[in-house]
Amino acid sequence: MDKIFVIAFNDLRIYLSQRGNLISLTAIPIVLAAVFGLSSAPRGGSIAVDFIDQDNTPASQALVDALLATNDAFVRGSEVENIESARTRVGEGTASAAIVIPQGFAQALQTFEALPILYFSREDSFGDPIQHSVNTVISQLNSSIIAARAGELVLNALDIEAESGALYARAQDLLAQELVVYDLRLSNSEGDLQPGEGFGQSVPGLGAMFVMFTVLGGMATLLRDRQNWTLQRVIVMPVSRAQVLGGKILSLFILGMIQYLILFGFGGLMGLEIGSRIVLLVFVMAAFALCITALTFAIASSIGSEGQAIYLANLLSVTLAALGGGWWPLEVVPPFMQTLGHISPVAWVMDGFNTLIYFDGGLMDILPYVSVLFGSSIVLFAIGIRRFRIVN
Amino acid sequence: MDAMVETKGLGKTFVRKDSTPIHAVKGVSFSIHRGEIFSLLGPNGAGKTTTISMISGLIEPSEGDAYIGGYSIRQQPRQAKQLIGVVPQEIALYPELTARQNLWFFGRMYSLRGKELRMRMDEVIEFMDLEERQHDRIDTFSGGMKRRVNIGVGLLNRPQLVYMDEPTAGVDPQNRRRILDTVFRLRDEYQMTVLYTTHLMEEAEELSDRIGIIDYGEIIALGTQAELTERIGAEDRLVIEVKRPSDEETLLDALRAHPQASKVAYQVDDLKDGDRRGGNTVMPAEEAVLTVYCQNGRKLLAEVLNIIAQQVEISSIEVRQPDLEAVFLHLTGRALRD
Repeated sequence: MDKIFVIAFNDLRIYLSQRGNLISLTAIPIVLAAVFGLSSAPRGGSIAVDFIDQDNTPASQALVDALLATNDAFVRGSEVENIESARTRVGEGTASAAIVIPQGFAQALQTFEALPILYFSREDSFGDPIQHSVNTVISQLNSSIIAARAGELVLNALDIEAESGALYARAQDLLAQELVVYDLRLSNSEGDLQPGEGFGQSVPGLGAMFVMFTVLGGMATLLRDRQNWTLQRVIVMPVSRAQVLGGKILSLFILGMIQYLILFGFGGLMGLEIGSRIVLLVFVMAAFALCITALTFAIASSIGSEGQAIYLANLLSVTLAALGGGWWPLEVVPPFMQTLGHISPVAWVMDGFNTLIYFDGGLMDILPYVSVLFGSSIVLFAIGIRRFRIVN
Repeated sequence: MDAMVETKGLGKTFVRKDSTPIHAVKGVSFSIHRGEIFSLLGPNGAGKTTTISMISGLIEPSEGDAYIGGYSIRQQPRQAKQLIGVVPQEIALYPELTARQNLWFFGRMYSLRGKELRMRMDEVIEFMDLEERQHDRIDTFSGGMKRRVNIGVGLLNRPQLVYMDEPTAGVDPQNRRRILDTVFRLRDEYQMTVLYTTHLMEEAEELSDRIGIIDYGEIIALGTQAELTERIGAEDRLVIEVKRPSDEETLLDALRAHPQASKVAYQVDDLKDGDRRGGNTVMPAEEAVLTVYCQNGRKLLAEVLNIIAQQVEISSIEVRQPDLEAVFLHLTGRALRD
């Protein structure tokens, strides 16, 4: 075991003694993560919702307030005179949605009459959270009406006089105490990222790519060790093949982890909320770093020259990162590409990171992704270790 | 005499991609005595490197076994390797690290640590005269200095057997002399056994207590230099460089017919175009070398030259006394560099 650590330490010392390697381990990934992170940062601020309150009663005003209360990001848009100008504003993107409360809204509540509330939104904007909010508030309203109406029918049947408005108000109070208005994790407000935005995408995504650059670049190191005869020199000493392999694997794995930790450390400095489960985050990183180490060993035995190794390392890193959602979130690509993207280990590690960072997932949530990475590692190591040659 | 190395039917068969077996080493058996300098000579492809790779535990033998200080390289590889120090032909060092860092790493591979490791490192640094440059990176060293560090690594574990593979390759005469003196010191001062390979006859002649000649995967001769030269008798060699004859066989037949010529060797070095430009065209050599083995070469010279001059133009003549190269040529029919 001691010799495994010494071999790994020696390899790391050699790697870190070269200025070029230090730059590619720190400066380049950080600069790129910063550029990508800042350029894809969420616009933040607010989601403008126009309200055309044609009823203009305390009841209609209460509806508007209830809607605005569902999400901190919602702000009341400009005063809009008519439905047409509301449509135009939504169409142009000036407002994300418009809601029309027709005249007679308050009266309809009193008399339990059905009255349509118009809702417009942009398909490519934040229509979904607004619509969810509208649905929630309307459901609450409808439930209050139904409860009040049922109460009135019961009172009528018992021949007791009751005012329907008071019944409705009481029902609404009771329902408001019981209902969960909306799952605010779907909201979009300043500082609250959606998957694919800002450093939440650039740090893990580019991190995966640079882990591949660094670890797959180890193919060239393995080749150089054989060409320089240092690998053979170690094996003619009282060192087993398993110890040599263990040391080489450990050094590449540690380099992969260092690369990830540097980028996530930078992400943390830039305000990326890493979530409460840092141990699980490191677990996901480890699964990916191990998978790429295994891939390095599986390929290394087929490589003939150092140039070939470097070329292949770069090609694989860029391709697998782009395919697996390292550059952009897989959610923005067509479904078949999302499926195809999962041949890349980057897709699995990004799924794991997204689960932890955005959805505050736990061990059971990330287990499927981590299992795929560990499973791939076992298969790739089996190939790589079997084919690993000390002597040409 | 006590054997430091003993091989018993040691053989290696490689299998080509088309499943054809190549018998690189064909069950060789020989011993190297403790405290001797033993040189293994053989032309390229003779099986020299494969034999030594098996002895040092780099490759697994297909048959037989080798014993280092009594330990089987197959059954007790760790114990056997602990007794060996290997100095490869390549500069097997990490150029990005200093001489001392290299020694530290390889020392740790021999399970040395702490005070003992520091002491061995200091010892090697002093022995190889590296004190002033021990903290410098290897890639700043001259070829000769790199060779010295390379040798130093092989001595870290105070081995009983040091294997040195052409340690003077690409070294200037001054450093070469220093390395040869080091080999003597290892035997004389530290009682180490040295297994030495070289393609330089004069080195083998100067250093070796005993010499083994390997060809086509078999040990074809083994003994001291005197024993080996005795095998071919005290024959002289007439080495005559000529313009390449148009009828080679007639000339060779005429020479072989001479009653005092025991053997006639003929050597032509056709130049493959690939040697220069990566092609495969063969450029026939314009010159050839005739070697005639005989007693009293100087007396026979006039007659031999007369036979040759009748058929072809002579460029140069040399009369050589019996030496290791003659033995090698006699036994293998090839020069060592072939």
